[in-house]
Amino acid sequence: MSGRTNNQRYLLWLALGTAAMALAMASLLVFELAQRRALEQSDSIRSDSLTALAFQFEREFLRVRQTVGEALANKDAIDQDALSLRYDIFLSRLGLLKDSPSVSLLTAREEYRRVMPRLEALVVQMDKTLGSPPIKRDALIPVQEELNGLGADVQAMTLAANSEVARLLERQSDTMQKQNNLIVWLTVAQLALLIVASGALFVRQKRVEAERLALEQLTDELREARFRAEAANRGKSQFLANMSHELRTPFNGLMGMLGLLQSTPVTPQQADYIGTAQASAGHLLSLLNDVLDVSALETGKLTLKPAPVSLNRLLGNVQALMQPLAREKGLDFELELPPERLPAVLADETRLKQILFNLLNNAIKFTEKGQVLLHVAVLTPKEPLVALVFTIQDTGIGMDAKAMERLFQRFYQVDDSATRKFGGTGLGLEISQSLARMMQGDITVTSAPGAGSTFTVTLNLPACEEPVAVQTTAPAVEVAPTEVAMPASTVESFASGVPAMRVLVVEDHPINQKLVGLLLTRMGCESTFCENGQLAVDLVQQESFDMVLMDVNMPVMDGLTATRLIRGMSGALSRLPIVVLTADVMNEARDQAMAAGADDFLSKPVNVAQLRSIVSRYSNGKVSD
Amino acid sequence: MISKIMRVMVTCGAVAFLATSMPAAALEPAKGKVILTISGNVAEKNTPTAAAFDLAMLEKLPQQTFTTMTPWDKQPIKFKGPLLRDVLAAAKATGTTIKAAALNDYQTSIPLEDAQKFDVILAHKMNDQDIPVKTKGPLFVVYPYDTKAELRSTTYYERSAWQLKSMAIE
Repeated sequence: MSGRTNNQRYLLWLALGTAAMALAMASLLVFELAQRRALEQSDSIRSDSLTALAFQFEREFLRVRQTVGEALANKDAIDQDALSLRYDIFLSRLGLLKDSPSVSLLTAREEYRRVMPRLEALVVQMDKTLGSPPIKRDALIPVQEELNGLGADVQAMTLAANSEVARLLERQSDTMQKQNNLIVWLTVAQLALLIVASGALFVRQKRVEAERLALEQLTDELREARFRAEAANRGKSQFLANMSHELRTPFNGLMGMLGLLQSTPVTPQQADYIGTAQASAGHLLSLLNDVLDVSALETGKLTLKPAPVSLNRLLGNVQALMQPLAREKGLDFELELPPERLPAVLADETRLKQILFNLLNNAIKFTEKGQVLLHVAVLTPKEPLVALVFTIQDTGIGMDAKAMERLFQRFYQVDDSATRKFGGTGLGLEISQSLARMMQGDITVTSAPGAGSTFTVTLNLPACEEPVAVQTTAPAVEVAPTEVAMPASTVESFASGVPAMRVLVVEDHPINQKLVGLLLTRMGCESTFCENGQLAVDLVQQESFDMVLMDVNMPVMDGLTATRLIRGMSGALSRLPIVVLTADVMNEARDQAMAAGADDFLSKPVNVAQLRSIVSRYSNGKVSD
Repeated sequence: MISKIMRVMVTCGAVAFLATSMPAAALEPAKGKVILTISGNVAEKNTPTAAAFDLAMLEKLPQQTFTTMTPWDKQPIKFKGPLLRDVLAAAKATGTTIKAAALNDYQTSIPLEDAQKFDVILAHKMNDQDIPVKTKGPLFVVYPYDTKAELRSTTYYERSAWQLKSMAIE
């Protein structure tokens, strides 16, 4: 607002300054023209100077007077021709004094007015005397007297002419001087104006510069504010990650205990309650995993671990898991594959499954009847990158354009009433889309209310050789979130007949101690417990153990430090198998454990199958499969 | 010797040519009052020292008439008279400068080439009237001032002698 006013004021001053400058220049021009005219005028007067006219006249007047005087002095006959000639020349001069344009200056002078009538009278007298020859002497005498009497006045007229011309020149010079002065002042004014204008420009320039600096500072401040906001957001993400981590520990106990409870003799009603509790716990875990994933994505800690993947096998697994869910709701589940075998690709299988599970779970969730279809197509099978298109089509409630716009936004849920009905964190689609983009692809959607939805996942994955059929990766991580949530898997029957294998469980949380202890007892292991790293370091030196299950976050001394200390011991102790057990599923957690010298890594909540496989791996034959 | 003969012949040729172009070949003596005397480098003389003209002789030459403003009068004036170059040719004048003198002893120098460059006349009539001595007569050297800007300058106004009485050719 004020900027605009400033600008308007500046433009006004600019216009005024320009106008003043133009005015001054125009005045200068006018003065110059006036001077030129004055010069031209004085030129024309100089060309036939009044002074010269008067002087010549006086000269001829004197000559005619002399000639008359000579004629009278001479006793011989008068030379009439010579006298006439002189008289004529005198007359011609007198004529010029009456008619010449230059005489206008003189006509107002008293000297001119006084002498001219007397000269006219003289001419009448002389015409009479000289006009009728022979000329009589007697007639010439009064002429001579008149000529003598006129001498002073004629001279006075000459002097008057001279003075008039001098005055004219003086006047012209005066005017010229005045105009010159004006020109000088105008030039000075122009100069002053110019200086003021440059000063104003300088001031304005400074102000603009100051404004620019202020703007720059503001930009800096804004940038800093954004950094602070981002830092705060990262802090929040970190807090979320920490909280999820903390939540996992008690959760671990809850899941395990529920599993154990179900394996005890219970009434059908109690079994139903336990099942419901397990389902709720499973749901809770999946929510927790979503929060963890978002935190990891935001802090940039989520990285993909590509390995050769057989798409046919992966899709078989997906079908095997989804088919029962669909059937439970009375829906058809169909998997459409191209007739030829799908190419093998380098991909993070867990994350790829996560995407498909998320979309298929949603499809099943929002479809009441009809079918859910997973269609797979390969666009460029032979290129270095294989372009894959997964289409997930349902016959569910669908959504309008407004809903689709916000679909991939964080915390978006179908609508308020649906929230209660369908639940969820509202993070699943955001995570899936982020993952798809990390795989050089994207997720798009087409839908209409009541007409079902179609989600299209496009991925560009590097082609590779068909992977070896044997599963090489540790089974611990190789589980999709939904699968982890299936508490049923932890409740499989315990194998019996494991010989007494001594396991040191280092765990500060009593419930977890109890759960792991129970599981190990079921597997026939002898468990010893301690609450922190320091105690574990002491214990391994006092007693003999076949294996250590080491938690990471503990008071006094954490698990990783204890692991490093044990690895630093002498003899057989340094080779004691240590399996790190943690709820931290971030990518680096595993790397840190391995770097500390752990032999293996287990993530919480502890899965019976995984624990069994670990126990048998380090049992030294004490455990028979 | 031969070259002298040749020169004589050429001169005779020139004279013969002039004689054919101007019927009044040799300059007759002035019968009336002499108003103009051309002395100095003149080949055609009718007095022992100069070519003398009366008004009738000048009127016999081709006449030129024009009207022009002058600095000496408020009105334009019609002038009539022979071209200066014809008058000079009649006297067979050769040289570079004309020293013109007036009755009132006014003297001025006119370059001879002015007679070729401009249609300068020796006016003997102003507004169809003879010019008396008591104005600017009897002869007035007049340039056609209105035809060229350069003629409206002091240089040419000074050459415009009135009451002209004689010209000495140098």
